[in-house]
Amino acid sequence: MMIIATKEFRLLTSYIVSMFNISSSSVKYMYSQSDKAAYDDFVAGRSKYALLYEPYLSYAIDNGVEIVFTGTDYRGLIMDVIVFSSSYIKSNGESVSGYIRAYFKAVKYLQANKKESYEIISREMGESQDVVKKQIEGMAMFDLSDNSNSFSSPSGMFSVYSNLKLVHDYLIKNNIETKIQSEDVVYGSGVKEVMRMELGNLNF
Amino acid sequence: MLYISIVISIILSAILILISNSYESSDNPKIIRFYKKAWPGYMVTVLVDKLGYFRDEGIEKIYINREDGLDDYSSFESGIYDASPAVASDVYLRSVEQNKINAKIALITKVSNNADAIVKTRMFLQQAAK
Repeated sequence: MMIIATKEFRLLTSYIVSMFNISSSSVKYMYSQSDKAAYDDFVAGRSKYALLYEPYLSYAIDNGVEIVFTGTDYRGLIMDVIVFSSSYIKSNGESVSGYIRAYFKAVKYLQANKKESYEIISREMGESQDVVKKQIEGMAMFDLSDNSNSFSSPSGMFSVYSNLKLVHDYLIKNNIETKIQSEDVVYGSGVKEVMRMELGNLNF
Repeated sequence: MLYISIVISIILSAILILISNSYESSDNPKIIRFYKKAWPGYMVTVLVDKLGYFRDEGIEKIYINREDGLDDYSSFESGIYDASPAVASDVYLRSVEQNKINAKIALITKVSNNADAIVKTRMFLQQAAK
C-alpha cells in the first residue's frame, strides 16, 4: 500500500502506521513537499491513502473520504506544540516566557469569548467561521494548568515525557539507535516559570 | 538643605532611569520571528497578535512568509525563523534523524482528537495487518 504524507512527517506517518501492527516493508510512502501538496496529490488520485491534517482534512471529508485513523484512536499520540529554536531559547529565554504568558492569556480569552475569537481567527486565517469552529472543537486545547501538568508529570496519557517515550520505544523496537534522549527536546522552564508567577499572583 | 538636595537628586535620578528604561523597552522590543501556518495549533497565536498581547509583553513579532521551497523543518533548521507550530513526536524524530536538537518544545497547544487523520478505508488496513 502507498500512503501520501508531507515530507516532514515521514517518520511520524510510519510511527502511526506501526500502531496497526503492519510491517514497514508492506508500506510505501509518497512524500509531498507541503500539507497542501499532499492534499492535492491525494485529490489527484496518486494514492488511495494519505495522512492529512487541518484544514485539508476538512476539505477531504467534505469530498467524502473515509477515515482510517484519527488522533482519537490513540488519544495523546498527536500532541501539537510550539517549538522555539534551541539557539533562540539559549539567548532569549525571557522572550520565550513572554510569549508563553501572552499565549495563555489568549487561551483564556478564547475560552470566554468563543464567537469573537472565531471571528478574529477566521478573518486572519482566511477560513470561514464554521471551519475555524470545527477545527477548534476537534481538539483538546491545553491551558496553562494542562501544560504545567504535562511538563511536570513523568507519566500519564497527557505527559509530554511519556508521549516522547512512546516514540523512543518505537525507535528501539525498529533498531534505530540514537544518543538523543527524548526529554532533551523539551524546554519546560518557560511554562513552569509562568505557572509559578500565576500561582504567586493568586496567593498575593 | 544639603540633605533635601541629595534626596531630590536621588528621586530625579530614579525617575530618569525609569524613563530611559521605558524608552529602551519600546526602542528595543524583543523580536520573535514566527512561521505563520494555517494550522489549528497556531490559531491561538493569531489571537495573541490581534488582541495586542505581544505588545503587552514588549514583543515584536515578525511573520516569515516562506518561499524557500523547503519543507517546514528544513526551513526551520535554516534559521530563518525562531518559532513554529509542530507535532511533539515529530520534533523528537527529526532530532534523531538529524542527530542534533534544533528545536525544543516550549508549550503544548492541544492534543488532537479529530484534526489529524489517515484517510481512506479502515478495512484495507485491518486486512493488511492480518
